[in-house]
Amino acid sequence: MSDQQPVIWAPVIWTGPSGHKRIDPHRIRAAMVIMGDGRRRVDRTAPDRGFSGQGGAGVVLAAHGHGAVAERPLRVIDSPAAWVLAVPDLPGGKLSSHDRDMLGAARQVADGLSGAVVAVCFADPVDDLGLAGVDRVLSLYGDSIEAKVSGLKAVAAALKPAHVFFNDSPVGGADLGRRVAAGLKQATAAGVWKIEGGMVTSRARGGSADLSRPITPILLVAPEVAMPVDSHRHEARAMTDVSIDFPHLVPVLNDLGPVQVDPNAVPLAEAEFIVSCGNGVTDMDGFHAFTKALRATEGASRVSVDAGLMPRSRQVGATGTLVSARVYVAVGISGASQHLQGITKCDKVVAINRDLSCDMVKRADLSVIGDAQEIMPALVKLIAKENWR
Amino acid sequence: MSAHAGLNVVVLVSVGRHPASGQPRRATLDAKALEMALRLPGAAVTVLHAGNPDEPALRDYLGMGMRSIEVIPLPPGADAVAALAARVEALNPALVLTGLHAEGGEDSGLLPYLLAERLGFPVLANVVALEQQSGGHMRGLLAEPRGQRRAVEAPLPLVAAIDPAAPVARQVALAVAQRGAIKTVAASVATPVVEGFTYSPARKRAKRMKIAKGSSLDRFKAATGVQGGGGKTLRNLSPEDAARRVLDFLLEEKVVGKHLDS
Repeated sequence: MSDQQPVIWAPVIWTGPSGHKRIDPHRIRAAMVIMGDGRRRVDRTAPDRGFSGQGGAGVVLAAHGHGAVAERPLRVIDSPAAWVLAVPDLPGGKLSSHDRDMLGAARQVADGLSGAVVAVCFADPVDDLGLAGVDRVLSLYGDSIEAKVSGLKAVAAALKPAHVFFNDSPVGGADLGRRVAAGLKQATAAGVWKIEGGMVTSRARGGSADLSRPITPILLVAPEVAMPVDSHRHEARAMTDVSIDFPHLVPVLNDLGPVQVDPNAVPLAEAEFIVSCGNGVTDMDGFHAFTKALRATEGASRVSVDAGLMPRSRQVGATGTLVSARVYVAVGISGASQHLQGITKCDKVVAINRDLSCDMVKRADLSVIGDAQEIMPALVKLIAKENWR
Repeated sequence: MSAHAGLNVVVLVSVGRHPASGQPRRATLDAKALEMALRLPGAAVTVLHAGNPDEPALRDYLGMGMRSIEVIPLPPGADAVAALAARVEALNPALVLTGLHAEGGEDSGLLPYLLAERLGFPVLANVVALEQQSGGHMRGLLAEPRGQRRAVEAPLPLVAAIDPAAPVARQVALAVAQRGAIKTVAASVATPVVEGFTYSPARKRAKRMKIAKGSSLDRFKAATGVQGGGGKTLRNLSPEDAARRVLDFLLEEKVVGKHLDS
């Protein structure tokens, strides 16, 4: 059982017996890297390819927006003139890029007031709050939305912040921010996409106009409102020296929990888990049983749709739907560049294919080389046996 | 109060905007709210608008099957919350429905929450379906990102803000729209005009550029997006072993994994 990616160890350019440089074009094609959107690129800088004499230097790619962590100087704010409260969404317990942008905006506003940013976390506190520009951290425990609103109102009453920042996001900030805004009875600006010179700008009139007004106490910000903090790092120390009076809460709403949805009723562009069939799938009944056992949304490549095996609405690709699933399973799909363009935004890709050298295998995070008609029923049996749903 | 008694429903509507032409028409989300109200069994529906009573787009709501709608006359730019709250309190409904946000003015989506706070009602947002339960409760189905759904129960009276994923509103019938009446109800409270807002035509937002820091090689790699050869390839596995490996991956990614309830 081999776990490794096939490694081309022979050089693609070498000196032949006559002293001339020899190039093997087949090896160049096999050595091509598939980019996320399906284009093929030859990476001539990789050291083990033998393209250049010097070889590529050790490359450390700095991620977007983040300066190398160890180099950032620490900025301590001991006695701030004002507090700026920020409530990050923390989806999955981690700071999202929207959270970082929001904290960057809170930092920008706090710097204008010589104040400090206080992050209120409802999950366990994360490590990189200091890198995102947070000076103090308050951890509250609230599972229901009413508990969170009540907690935030108590914090605002104790700290009397100059501004409170929320994400205007469907994940949590939009609802929470508006409830807190109504509870605190303060002026609020929603969908803010620019904060500059004491004025905030949001979209209005169905997206056809920009609305500018002076900065309000409560702000719900859109993604990319400001650049994330990358020049300094901040303390993010727990706030222990403030006493907050949490009133007793009588809950009114009763959260009955998530309701099971039919995965095929979810629009393909929004689905989180997609299983697609391609040319290599001949047993369509087996494929439907497979997607039903996995509770996944069905997709298809152009080949299956043109053959009439799947409807056009299920086509994934450049002319079909661009999908942004978290996990995408491609069964019997070779990975033509138009299909790969459709799955650019997919996080993890699993390929089940008979062809080792196809482009889908190069794009995938996990590839299984085998017959899809055998692997699909085996997986259905395994799920039924182990009772996973 | 039994579950079969008539439900008093007030639907708050606004004037919407066609996305391409900019012409006034019924607001999409408010129309969905009215649609949901009309589909509730045994509901007595009142449609309420705060603004200009002579606006032709209000006829679209009449055309959905209403005999009349009530309008509180307000000057443009006035804050509608106080006037609407006073009128809703006078109507004494069990359910107040409105769209999640408007599409013709500030569009902040704050109105349902501010109204609920003034009236002392609980508020449910992103509602796609409502079902009346016994005992004066309402079960709402809320839309979450990625097509997920969540059920929440709340006591009546209630404010519900309708999500774009709710069922599509019925067509507007011209004859019904022309037969309907627009009744004017004077505002019982002061309605101050909001100051400090400046509207300008929307400017396109600049796309954020990914600037990689580092040597020229780092910037080249970032710009061309060349990916290293990541990803495992498994060969020569039996179907059962292959299935096992794929299932382990999917369990790790947490897309499969809640045990069947027995």
